[in-house]
Amino acid sequence: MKAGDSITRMASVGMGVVGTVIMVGGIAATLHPLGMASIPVHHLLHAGMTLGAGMLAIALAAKLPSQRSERSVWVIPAILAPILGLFLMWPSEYAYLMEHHGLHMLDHVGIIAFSWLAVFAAQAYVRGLGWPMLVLMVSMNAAAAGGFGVAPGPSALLSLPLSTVTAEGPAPSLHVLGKRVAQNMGCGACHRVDGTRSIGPTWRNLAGYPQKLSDGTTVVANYQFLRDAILHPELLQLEGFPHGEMPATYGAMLSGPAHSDERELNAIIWYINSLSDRSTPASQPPVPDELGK
Amino acid sequence: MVTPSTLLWSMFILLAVGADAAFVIVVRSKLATNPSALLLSMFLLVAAQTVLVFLGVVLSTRFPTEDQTGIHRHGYAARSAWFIFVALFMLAAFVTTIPFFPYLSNVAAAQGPALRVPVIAQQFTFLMPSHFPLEQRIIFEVTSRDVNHNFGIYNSKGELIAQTQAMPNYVNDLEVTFQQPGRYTVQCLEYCGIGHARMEKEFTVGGN
Amino acid sequence: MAISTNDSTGRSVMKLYLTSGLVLSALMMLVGLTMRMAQAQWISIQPTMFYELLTLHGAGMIIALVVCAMGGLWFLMRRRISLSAPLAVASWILIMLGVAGVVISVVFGHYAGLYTFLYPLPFIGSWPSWATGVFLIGMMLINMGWMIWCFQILGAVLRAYGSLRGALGWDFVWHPKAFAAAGREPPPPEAFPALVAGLDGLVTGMGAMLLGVALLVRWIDPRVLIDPLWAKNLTYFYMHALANLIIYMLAAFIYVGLSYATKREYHTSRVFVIAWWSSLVFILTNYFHHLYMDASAQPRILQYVGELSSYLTAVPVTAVTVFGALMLVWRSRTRWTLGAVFLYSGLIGWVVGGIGAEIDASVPFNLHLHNTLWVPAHFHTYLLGGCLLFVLGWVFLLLESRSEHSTSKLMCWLIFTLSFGGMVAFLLGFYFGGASGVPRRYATQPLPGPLIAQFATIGAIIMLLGFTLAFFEGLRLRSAFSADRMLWPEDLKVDASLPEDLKVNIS
Repeated sequence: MKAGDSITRMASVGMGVVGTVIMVGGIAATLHPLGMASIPVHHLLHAGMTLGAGMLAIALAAKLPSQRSERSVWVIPAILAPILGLFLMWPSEYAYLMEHHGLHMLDHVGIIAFSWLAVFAAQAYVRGLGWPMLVLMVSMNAAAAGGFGVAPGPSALLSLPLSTVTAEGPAPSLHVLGKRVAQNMGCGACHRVDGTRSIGPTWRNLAGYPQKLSDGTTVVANYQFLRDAILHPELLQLEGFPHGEMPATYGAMLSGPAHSDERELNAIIWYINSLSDRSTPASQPPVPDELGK
Repeated sequence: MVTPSTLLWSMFILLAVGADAAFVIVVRSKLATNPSALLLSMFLLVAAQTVLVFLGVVLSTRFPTEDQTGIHRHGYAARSAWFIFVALFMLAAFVTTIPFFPYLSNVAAAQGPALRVPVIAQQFTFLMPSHFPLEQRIIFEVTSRDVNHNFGIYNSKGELIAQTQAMPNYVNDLEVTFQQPGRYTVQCLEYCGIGHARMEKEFTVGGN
Repeated sequence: MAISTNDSTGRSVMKLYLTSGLVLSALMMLVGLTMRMAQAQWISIQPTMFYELLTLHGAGMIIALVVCAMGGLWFLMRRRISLSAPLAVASWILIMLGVAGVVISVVFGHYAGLYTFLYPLPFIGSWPSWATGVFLIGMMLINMGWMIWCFQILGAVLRAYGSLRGALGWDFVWHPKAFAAAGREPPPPEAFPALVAGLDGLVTGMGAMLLGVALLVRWIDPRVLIDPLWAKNLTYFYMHALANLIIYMLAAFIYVGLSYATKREYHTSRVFVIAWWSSLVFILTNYFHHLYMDASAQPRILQYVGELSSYLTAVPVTAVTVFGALMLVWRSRTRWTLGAVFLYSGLIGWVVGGIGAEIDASVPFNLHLHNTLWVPAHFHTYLLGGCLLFVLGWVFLLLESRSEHSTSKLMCWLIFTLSFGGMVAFLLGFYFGGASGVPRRYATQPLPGPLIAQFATIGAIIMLLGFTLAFFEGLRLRSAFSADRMLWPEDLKVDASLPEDLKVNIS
């Protein structure tokens, strides 16, 4: 029995020492001018520090007298410490914070402290919960490497021109092109052309007609209005239509550096004009309707 | 010792195995087209079997007995039989379905070169061509511009014949070879916001 | 020798959980009915409203049933080892605060990102940003409450059975002779749902914590990148386990409740223990069946793991829990009271739901069924036809044990026929729709027309009628409560070796 006891005690002390070494290493790493590791590697290093902190916590918690009842109060830090530790991973996303050695070290100390607290609290609450908590904390930190602060960029397919993706030939005029683009981009999902209201207002008799805004004012749907409604729908609030329902993606798809001639945008607005009996040069695009070669 | 209850259990298990095996065979032969009617009948059949078993056990309480040991002996024997049956059936089902996983592109590659077609799903439309050739291996490269969508292809009879997820930042490949000409509809099968139910695109195959 | 004690605190905590869970369930069922009626085109609601209701219904229903299961299992473990009631109440308060957060974000903020909150949808929707934040914080609070419960339950089995090894029944399985010779007894049947729920709940809860913090950080600073596939994995890892765990937790009701109703005993056997070990693992590995369509983006082996794991899940469930229950009932002297009927019928829901699930979990079939109405078909069968019936069965057994009244045969038949009959019609609507390829989560269903939804709505109304009758019958049983009758579940022998503060009150 004695040999078993002293082995346990040695294991405990050993664990504590190894854990402390890892933790100190984690703090020291912030001072060494290693250069910023990538975010996933950074998360894995945090997981390593958590391992060290957890090992020390279990070693120290071995000193607590064993009892059969719960130390209920310890559940609270056991639940809160992991959350706070996770929030401390957030500063890793900002290079300027990480380059400041003092702040970086503070961040690591914080992560270590919360990891230590989480494992200690679990073991203090009920003996035997420390190891599972340690494994979970380390896994959670490691799992963060999979996607917290890091993501693959948008697919290259997104930068293909619309006409390539839809594999369509040239259109005879702008408003016909506009009808095609509108169909392809799914405008009809919310804007009917038969005069009935859907999720969005109908396009029939839209151009050139007055539109009521939610603040009570009225504005005529001229070219600028139509442009803004398509490119920046989040800035428009029509009466009777809930705010924010129109996707904000069309701005990037129809204007900006890749679409400097705004051909498709003007095509759509020509199409909208073709559906209205009050279409005037004020509501029409400055580009003529016929498509040149 | 063959008792009435053991006999009954064995008969039932044989019947269940037989019926379900028949279905697996039929399903395998029909998996190329839409198996929805078969899936439903398979489900209803097994569900009905289940309800009957449970009903039978309830009715047995009209004939209560205090003989626990007898029940335990036969019960555990029947349970062992059931355990072996269900474990083997599940493993067999797993092996049966593997060839039909839509991932084995090396098998499909033998069918000839594939036409790669990009599909961009976004709120609330699918950017894609509106016409495809017949009997041509097509690999749809599906991605999303904004949130998660799902690229679900319905034929003109309204049967869902294939689908895959459209994820932002990722591309999922869906391999389809259209055997029937006509009009097809794509619908979005992953909730993506207010226009989810109206997010659809039509295309035609063959003809013209 | 059992000392008749009265653990009134423990019972009060259980009642708190059960009552709040059932009230929330009832409200959520009305929300669900509203949605099905909209799809039946008998009422007309805006798509935004539909999706808000769907968000509420999904989150609320899962939480409601989880809460019922938590309360029951907590009480059953408290019979074995002391459990701090204040901690259980703290857990409940956190969950209710979280529910309040969800309700506020949906009702006032019009948040409609659904309870699967798949990144990046919560941030790219038609609702204001504050609603997303309140929803996420609400979910975090619910998870915190859940994890406190998991800590407590896992801690309980560790304390009661010595260690994880004891709680798992390790020596009982591998060294049965030495085990018996040492005079040791394995943990009782209900300790295994507790262990599995506590451990798997803790593991997946940690995953949810990571996801929750990541999403909250993203909410505060939109420049922070989140990998959508990573987020999807974590979301389903947590959500699948939570939903799946409900029915495993409620298996404890079967072990204790059905034993009582059939007047037979349910024992822990080695087969039983091994079955629960496999469930412990499968509950965690099954979630890959939500990602079958992402084979291009993830390692393909995960898809195979998902299918195999999902398939094999049926083995411990049917071969041990369900079969064992059938053996309990076979030729027993069961009095088929409403409680016994509900409890037993729930088993049918579990198996039938499993059939639908196994079909959907088959990758080649999944191509035709994924995200169609087949998915709600199978999980409504599990949750409505399994979990809710287990809870109702338990509640009625409790009421019946102490009531001077008993339910008349006629009333029993009426409630059963209406509830079960209506439920079958309601569920068939989903199965037929799913097999026809009708997509799920559609505010309107132009194809194949509103007929299926109308049939389902009628079924739902009939079912709710049955439940309402059951509610009034429950009140009637409660009104004739007699303190003289035997307490059930009976409190167990007080362990004289425990210090005073661990013993329950003796009255």
